[in-house]
Amino acid sequence: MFPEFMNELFEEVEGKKNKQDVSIFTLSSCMWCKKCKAYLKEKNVKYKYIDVDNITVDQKSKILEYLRENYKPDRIAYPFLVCDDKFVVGYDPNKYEELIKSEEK
Amino acid sequence: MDLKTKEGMKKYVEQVSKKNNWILNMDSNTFNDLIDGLVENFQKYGYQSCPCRLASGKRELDRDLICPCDYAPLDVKEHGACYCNLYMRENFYETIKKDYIVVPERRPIEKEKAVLAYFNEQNSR
Repeated sequence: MFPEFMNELFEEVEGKKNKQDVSIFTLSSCMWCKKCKAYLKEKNVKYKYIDVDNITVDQKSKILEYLRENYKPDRIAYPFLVCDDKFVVGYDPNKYEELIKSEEK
Repeated sequence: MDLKTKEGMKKYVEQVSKKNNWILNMDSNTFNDLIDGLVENFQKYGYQSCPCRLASGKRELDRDLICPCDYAPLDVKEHGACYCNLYMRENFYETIKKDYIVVPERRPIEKEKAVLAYFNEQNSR
């Protein structure tokens, strides 16, 4: 799904809900990103994440360009959650719930 | 006031909130996370860049994000809290009746694009 260089940067978090591919781009210092990770953990969703503030400028540049080109968001804010082909910008548990529900059908 | 330390950063944000007649987030976990983020950013960049936004590391590009960010006064006034929810309106908890509020990003998109252009420029060197 993601380019190889990104796959190498992801940290994986295990969860029982693992049918969907959930990835988040986060900041290690961000309270909203911590809430997003806590939400996914509480819902037992398997996910992977990259703390974008803790990678090299080269990696930041490539990841931000990738997100812009592939998802065409109005803007990039954190957490940036990607669930299969859908994405959510910013902490939004209602939207996360919609995506997670779709797995249970 | 040593902003490299958690205690120093707490004193700093207390001063900022008093000066602006704001209050600080009362959820101790959230508050401590935000203070940790500010300290982490101060140690990393040399200034207390907003912990909820990606800093470029170039002060000139991040100036508007130095806490309290340029957008905090209007966000507190209009939404009841700054983007991070560190600073809140005095009556936040009485009027909002929630622990937090998601505040839409007010930072101009051009500034976000300038950061990306800076990363790309660094990358091409």
